[in-house]
Amino acid sequence: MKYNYNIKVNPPKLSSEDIGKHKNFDALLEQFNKEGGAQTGKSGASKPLIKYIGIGLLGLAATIALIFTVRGLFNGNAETEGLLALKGPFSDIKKEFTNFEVDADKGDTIHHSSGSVIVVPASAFVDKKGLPVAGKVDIQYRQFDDPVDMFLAGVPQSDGAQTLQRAGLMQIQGFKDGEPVYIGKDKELQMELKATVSANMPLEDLKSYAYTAKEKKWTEGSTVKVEVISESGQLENPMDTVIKNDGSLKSKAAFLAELQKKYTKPVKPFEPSKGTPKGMIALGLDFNSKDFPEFAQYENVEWVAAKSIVSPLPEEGWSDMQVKRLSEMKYEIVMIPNDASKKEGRKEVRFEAFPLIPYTQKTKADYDKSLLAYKSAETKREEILNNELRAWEQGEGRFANVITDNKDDKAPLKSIISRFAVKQFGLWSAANKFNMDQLASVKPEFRDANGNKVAVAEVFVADNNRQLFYSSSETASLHFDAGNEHVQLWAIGTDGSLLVAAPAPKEEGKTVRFVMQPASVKTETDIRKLLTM
Amino acid sequence: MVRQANIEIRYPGMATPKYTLTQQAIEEEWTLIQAAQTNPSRFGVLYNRYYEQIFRFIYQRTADEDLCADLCAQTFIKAMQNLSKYSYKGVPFSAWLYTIASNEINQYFRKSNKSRVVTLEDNYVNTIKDEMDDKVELEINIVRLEKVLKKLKPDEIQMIELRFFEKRPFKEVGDILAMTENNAKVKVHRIILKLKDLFKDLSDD
Repeated sequence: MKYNYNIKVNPPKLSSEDIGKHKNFDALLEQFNKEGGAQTGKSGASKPLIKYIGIGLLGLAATIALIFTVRGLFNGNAETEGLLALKGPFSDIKKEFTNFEVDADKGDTIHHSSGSVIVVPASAFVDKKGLPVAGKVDIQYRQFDDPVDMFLAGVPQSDGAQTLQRAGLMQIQGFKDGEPVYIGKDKELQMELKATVSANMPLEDLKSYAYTAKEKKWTEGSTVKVEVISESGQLENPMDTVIKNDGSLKSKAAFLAELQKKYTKPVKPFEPSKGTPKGMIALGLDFNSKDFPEFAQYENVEWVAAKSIVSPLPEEGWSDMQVKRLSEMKYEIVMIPNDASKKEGRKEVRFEAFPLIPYTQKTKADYDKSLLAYKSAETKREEILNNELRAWEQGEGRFANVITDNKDDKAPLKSIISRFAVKQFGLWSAANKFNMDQLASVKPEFRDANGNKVAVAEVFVADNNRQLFYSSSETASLHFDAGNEHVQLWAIGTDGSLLVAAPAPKEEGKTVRFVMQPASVKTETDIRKLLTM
Repeated sequence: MVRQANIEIRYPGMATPKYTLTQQAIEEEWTLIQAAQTNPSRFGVLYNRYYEQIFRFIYQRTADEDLCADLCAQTFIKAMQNLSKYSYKGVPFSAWLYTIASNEINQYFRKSNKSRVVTLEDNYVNTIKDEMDDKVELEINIVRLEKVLKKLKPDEIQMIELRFFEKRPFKEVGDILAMTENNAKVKVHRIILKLKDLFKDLSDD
């Protein structure tokens, strides 16, 4: 028998980009809701979906036509122009906008309580048809000052391709009589975004980034002019105004940090490695082993760093190189250009490097021996820590739930103002691109206090030292700097609950085990108490 | 021919979709499914994860980008509507999506009275040649392959597509067609024998 198949030879190939154009979960979800949501009974007759899609496409075509008509009359497009609705994890906890009324004809200067300033020029706004907007315009503004703000507001962190190291983030939108207005073409608002950042945050090459909802992408804009206004080391934390602490009593985190300082963690031996890890490149570093006693027992130490960072660097033109220990297995290398290179515009380069002990029978035997000693020392230390903590919890620690961290425990900070032009309404950030290859990719395991597996839907990581905040719904692997005490991890469980990782997760090879503690939270203050380091 | 359990297929110049999962990954995926069962907005993770795979699966069987986009949307809507009935069976979630997509494709061709599309690429000729017994000298080219395929039943075509054109492991072929891995191997073996006979018959004509 012969079947009547329609055989097509070598049809056009589709790229991921071609396919991505059809992908739109928001539209799918809307359609799902319109069709009555989940089917609970027996599958019924199929609904006239093609008809629906046909109508939807007509609607979409009309929208596209409208956008094309008005495009060119204002910067950006309707989707990025103030219509971005962010969805946080808790529907009843929101980061509210502050409302300002400005005179669209004359322009105005807006002063936000954070210290940020927005200069609105005269005749800056147009309506959806591109016609000038006159009279009073409502400007809504909110600022996301730390990872908790971003988490609660549901600010999209990365677009999969890039993660940003932020020195400020804000959202601005405008309305006239309840209808959105847009920033006119060739007009721009002047933003002075005030923020508090880690003292380690590099500020030389900050750029402005605007979020495009349609493409789910942070788009790089112009260079940001930065002014450092305070380097006092310690700045007011919003929590300090919530609960005053005179410093005589300590929170649990502060007490733990003190204990950990008192009983130093034993140094984990370096595991000999066969070859250079994937994506890394060996560095020809010559250093004095006296300066690095942790390597004293090894005859040969090699260094590796992310290939994507090191390979483009020129070999010549450097005057000095500094090496700083960041954690047990990680170092920061700072390459300082010589005067001639500086004149050509070359800047200091910082990247993370990892020591590597070449694998031989001897290094392996030494490692096995050292590992046993390390494990034994680590067990002893944990016992001491647990005993001291138990004793503290029965004494002073009984009051710990009303005490915030002592200011001295915080990483040094600086206060800055980032100046850049805002050409469209929406989400804006002053930031550096951050290469996530710098962070180890680990296999996370989420357990409860009894060691049972915990299901998580989305993981959030805040690295306050690097001004990084990123999230991932892919929980099979995670970029995580386990040795960094300024890194904090939390998650939203599959039931929508908040789970906070206990400090000092356990590392076993590439696996990092997090003990997740369920948190009962009702207010922003509850969340801040748990998530502010 | 034995293949490894975890195989990745690379489309020239395109991203590498992963078609199989480890048991641990399947278990982790189940937590995402449970989350989406209680909150449909959490289905987005699964949608983003599988959209491209399902799109390619449908495109292979329709060769029409716009139609494919419609059928793909219908597949995911059906999945969301019926997600509450989905229970853990230890197989990748994608297998369930492929089954829904297959039903959508079949329904489309049935309702529109159009013939089922089978897409062929030049490189499939070599794939099929590799599967033939080395001792048998058969003349196989794209024209002859086209003729031979027209003599296979729809379920046999489906097996050829999954196993040879899309190079899926037997385990996954079994998961998609709701049969055991061994059963999938036996069926594929029989189809290879049938193909060989059909190519021989063509040579004798």
